Amino acid sequence: MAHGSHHIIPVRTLSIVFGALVALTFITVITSRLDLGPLNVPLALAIAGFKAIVVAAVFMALKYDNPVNMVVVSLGVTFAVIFMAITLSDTALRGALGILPSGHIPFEVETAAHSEPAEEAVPVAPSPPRTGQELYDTYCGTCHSLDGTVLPGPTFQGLGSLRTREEIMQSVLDPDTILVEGFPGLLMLSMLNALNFYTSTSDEELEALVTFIQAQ
Amino acid sequence: MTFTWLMTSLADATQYRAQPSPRMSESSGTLKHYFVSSEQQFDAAKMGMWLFLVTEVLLFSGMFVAYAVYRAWYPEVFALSSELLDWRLGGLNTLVLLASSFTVALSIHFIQKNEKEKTVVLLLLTLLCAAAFMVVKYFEYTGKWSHGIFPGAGFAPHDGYEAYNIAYAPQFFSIYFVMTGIHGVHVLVGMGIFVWIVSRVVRGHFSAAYYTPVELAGLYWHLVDIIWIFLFPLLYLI
Ligand code: HEC
Repeated sequence: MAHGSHHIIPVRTLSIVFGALVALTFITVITSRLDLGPLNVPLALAIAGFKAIVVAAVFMALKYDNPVNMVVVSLGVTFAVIFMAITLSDTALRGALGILPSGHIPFEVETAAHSEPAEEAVPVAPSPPRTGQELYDTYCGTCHSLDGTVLPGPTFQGLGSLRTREEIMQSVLDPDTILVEGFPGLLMLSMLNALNFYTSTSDEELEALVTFIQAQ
Repeated sequence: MTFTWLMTSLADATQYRAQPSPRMSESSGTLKHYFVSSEQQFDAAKMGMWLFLVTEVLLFSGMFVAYAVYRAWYPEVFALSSELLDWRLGGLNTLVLLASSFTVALSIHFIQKNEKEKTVVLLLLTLLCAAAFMVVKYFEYTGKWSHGIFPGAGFAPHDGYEAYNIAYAPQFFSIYFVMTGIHGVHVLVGMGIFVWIVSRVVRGHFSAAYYTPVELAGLYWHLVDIIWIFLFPLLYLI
């Protein structure tokens, strides 16, 4: 047929595209198993984007279609990208607002990204400083008991006689350098990061917390 | 003028009980009186479908934005939580959906050539793939629920999943359930549409001269496939 929108796509073309899509799926899985550092996510998105374009161009026949449909699609995708970009630029730069105690908004909000190491972050200490017991109840009690029970982490009972103050401080600030045998790594760090523990606790409060643990 | 054309096409793109037209001898009665030709009517219907698909893209983009914000904030939690999703099942479903897109594209090829039996067989294969996708999804969901991995406030991992009871893991799983859930609803709707399309092909409603609904259903189905192409690496392969 003469008209573009009734173009009959050959079976051969469709088969090649299907084969390519399957191959790309395997490539996605394989590359996700490799450790490419910061490149993993962009690569996965690039492959997915390419697959999407191929599906749209051939299976959805955009390539052969009335160009006005291409304009419609491009506009829609452009708005989705604007939506994503503006939202992310806000949430990435606003700093750790989620940690503020209710009714208290400090004027100097730190702009450290959430994943920055604890040492570099400027703590926004809520006033008055919290006690070791309070910090334990808020951040640690779900994983560390005081009475010998084994929760996801080892108990704090008797830890004061087992470890020095420096060792405890080290375990808190950098949980994954030395792992307690039989317990998983990553868990404590991800939990405390998620709770903004490192960005919201002042040095003074950390000392109080370690003192509290030492006393157990 | 373009605007009126657009509105009429949107309002009537799916109703085909118009006056017989001499131009449409093979499937009389599909051309609306306000279209110059069946060609123009076809283009209008297709553009209406593309506009609808854009609203679908924007619907899902809201969820992708939520995903991106939480993943940027809590990368470790997302990496840990996604371990609970089985990439083999997700990958299998990716292949199943790709195959179903392939069969839909082939079915349109054959209806364009008036080979209706092949069209029916290919659309039935599409339905089979869609059903397989939902069966896999059913096993994935129930596997999570039996360990207390629920969306929202019900999140309470147990039976060996205790280690995943960490802050913001519920957010990951809420995003997972909402995105795959709404996607799954689209698959179910697509199955309903294809049952209807197959029955109309069998009843002889479509031919090389008129197959607009088959083509539009195909467009919808490919979009459902594209959404999954993004969901798979973002949820299963972190
Ligand atoms: C999500 C669970 C979880 C949370 C919450 C958690 N931890 Fe841990 N913690 C662990 C696990 C698991 C280990 C053992 C692995 C390791 O050494 O990192 C551990 C180890 C430790 C150790 C070393 C213990 C030893 O025997 O040497 C200390 C000290 C510690 N945590 C302190 C804390 C403090 C203080 C908090 C609260 C601010 C906290 N943890 C919150 C899971 C957690």
